[in-house]
Parts: sequence; structure tokens; C-alpha cells
Amino acid sequence: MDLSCIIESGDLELYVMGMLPPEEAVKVETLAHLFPQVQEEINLIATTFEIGVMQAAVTPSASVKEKLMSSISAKQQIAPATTNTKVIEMNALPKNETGFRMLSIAASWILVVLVGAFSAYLFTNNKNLKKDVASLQQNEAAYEKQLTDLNKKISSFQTYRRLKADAAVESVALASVNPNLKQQAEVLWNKTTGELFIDPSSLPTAPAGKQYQLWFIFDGKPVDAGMISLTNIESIQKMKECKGAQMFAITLEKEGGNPTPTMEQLIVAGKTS
Amino acid sequence: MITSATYNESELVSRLNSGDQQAFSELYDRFSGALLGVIMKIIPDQAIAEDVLHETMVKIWNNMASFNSSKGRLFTWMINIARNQSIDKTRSKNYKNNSQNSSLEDSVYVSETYATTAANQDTMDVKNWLLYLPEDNRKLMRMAYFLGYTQEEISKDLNIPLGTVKTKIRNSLILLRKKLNVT
Repeated sequence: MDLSCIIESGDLELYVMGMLPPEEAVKVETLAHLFPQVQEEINLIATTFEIGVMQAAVTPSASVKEKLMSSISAKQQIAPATTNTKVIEMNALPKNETGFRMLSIAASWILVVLVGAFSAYLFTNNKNLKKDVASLQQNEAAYEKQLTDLNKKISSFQTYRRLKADAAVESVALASVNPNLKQQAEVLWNKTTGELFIDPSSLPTAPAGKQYQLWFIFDGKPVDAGMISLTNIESIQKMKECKGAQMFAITLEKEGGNPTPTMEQLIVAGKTS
Repeated sequence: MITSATYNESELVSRLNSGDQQAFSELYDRFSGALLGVIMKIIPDQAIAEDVLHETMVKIWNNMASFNSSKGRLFTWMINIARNQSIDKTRSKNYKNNSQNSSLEDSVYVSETYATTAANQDTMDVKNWLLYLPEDNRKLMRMAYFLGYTQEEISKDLNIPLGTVKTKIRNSLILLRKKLNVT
């Protein structure tokens, strides 16, 4: 193929000197790629051009280099952003794509981390809630117990007030047989109906395996008036019916009681009026 | 041959691409004078020309990634960046507002006259390679290459056909090639 028309066109010179419009430059590059003869001519032109330029060199002041080196070390390589050739654009496209992909990957990871963190948060939250519910249930049980206790106390007080207000009910104070001890109890007795109550709240807690037993003395004989409940020590307790008595006494007996009182274990006693 | 053999271009390019500042320092030492020569053809004031050299070198450093050695040579690429940077400078508001450079045509004329005179005084002075060319080719080359005129503008300005512009540019380079013994 005759390449002289290309070589003599003047386009190769313009190409080397960067004066061809981009689309024509691409044509020259294609031709140079296809025909070594064209490439050779381009090389010759470039060499001529470079030697010519070299010969016209002017030495710059030393300060130029100093300033330049400090300025490039100050800002490390910045992404290419010129108008120069198509090469830049072609490079830029895959770079953007890579950037996008990197961004997607980064976004995915961030999402994974966020979901993980959220799950952990939910898990902890759930655990805490369960704990809270358990403690609330516990509290509720405690409150319920307190409420029951309070109700018991109230009904006990109400009973006590009712008995105290009743003119038919006689109150008998039982005091400790040992003057050094302040143990005491109070018996509330309705002589007409025979109803008998005991307020044991001031007695000391019975030792393990033992229980207080109330007696009334009628015609010089002790009669069993019932066992004082260990669990209801705080409340007024209803005892066995008592039609007549000169005296009341409490002894400490074995749990469940005895048919006759153990006089060595007499705790408190009091006479009726 | 001045340019070849004394340095390995592809090695230098790969070092520059990896951000090697030492490589850049070598690049500067080798080519800054030539680039300043190109710039001063367009901007005779050395102080301003040195500013443009700075801008040119920064641009080269920042754009190394876009240099494609399969399409051209490093030095040629740099020369063209220096040239474009200089032409941009002459077109900037700052430069035009400077009274010293108020008329680009004047400055071209002065520079040309000076160069011619210098050449007459000392024919061995090859600082200005344009002086190798016949006068009409020299003016055309200056307009085309150093002043950034398009081929159409030159054709219009010098009142010659577009094809002739290209031919004259080619002839100028051929002439230079002979003068510089490039074979």
C-alpha cells in the first residue's frame, strides 16, 4: 500500500505536536498501529521535534524546583482530571465502575454490620425485658403476700375492736409468771356466748417443735382451750368455747398440745374478774 | 541523538506512576530546561514563564496515569502540556491585564525581531529552532504551535489555503530534521 499520501499530508507532524483534533488523532494512531512505516515516520518527527526543543532549553531558577518538590509532596497524587485525550475518559469509566462496586460492597458490609448490631440489640433488649417481667412477677408476689398480711392484720384489728367495743366481752390480761420477763397475752372472752379469743402477738416466738397452748381453769381444773397457731402469731385467734372460767393460762407444750398442762412451762396467766 | 539511550523511559514512567518523588526529581532535571524553553517562546517574561513551568510540572505529576506510552513518547507529551499550559496562560485575564503583555501581537513581533537579530549576529545560535526555517514557515509554525492558532485561523490570517498550512508545517519539520541530522 502506498502510504506516501498519509506521510506527506502533514497530519503526522500535527499529531506529534498535539495539534490534531482528537478524532483525527485516533485515525493517525490506528494507521501507526497498522503500518510500521507510519510509526517510523512519527518517531522521526518526534525525535526532530524533541531535539529542536532540547536545543532551545533555558535553565530555570533553582527556586522553581524547590517550590515544585515541596508542592507535590504536600499534595500526593490527585486523580487525573484533564481534557487531554480519550485515554483519560476510557480510564475513568472502569474506575467509576470500580468505585461504584467498592461503594456497593462497602454498603453491603455496613448493612450486615447494622443488621447484626440491631439483632444483638433486640436480643439484649428481649433478655432484659424477660428479666424485668420476672422481677415484676416476683414483686407482685411479694406485694400480694404483703397485701394478704395486711388484710389479715386489718381483720384482726377489726375483730379486736369489735370485741373491745362489746360490753359482754371481758378482757383478761395474762402476765408473765416470772416478774423479770415482760411476756404477755390478752384473752377476750364473751361470758354469755362462750366465745373465746386470744391475742398472742406479744408472746415470744415459740422454740422449734414447741407450741403455745391456752387453758382455762374452771372449778380448779385446767381445761384445754386450744392451740395457738404458730403461723398466725400476729393475729387475734379464735379459741375453743368457754362457758365459765376463773383463770386463763398459757403453757409451752409440744407441737399439737397435751391433754394436761405442763406446769413447769407456764408462760403467762391471768385471773378473770 | 540527545534524548535516547541515556534513560529508560518505561522504567521512569512506572516509577512516576507509583508516586516516586525521586523519579519526578530526575524527570525535572532532565526536561525542565527544555520545557522552559518552549514556554518562553510563548511567554518571554522568565518569571511568569517559570510560574507556568511550575504549573506544567504539577500537571504532569498529577496526570501521569493518563500518559499512554503506546501512543506517544513521554517528552513529546510533556512538551505539549507545557505548550498548552502556556497558551492558556496568555489567554488568562491576569496575563492580558498586565500592561507589559497588553498586545500579544506586539510581543510576538518583538520576540521575532529579537530572535532574527540575534540570529543575524550569531548564526551559530541555535537556541531558537525556528530560526532554521525560512521566514514564512517560521511565522506559520509560531502561530500554529506556540500561539495555539488553529489551521483554519492560520489559513485565514496568512491568506493561504488550508492544505498549504499542513504542507508548510510538514516542510518545516523536514527541514529541521535535515538541519538536526535526524535520520
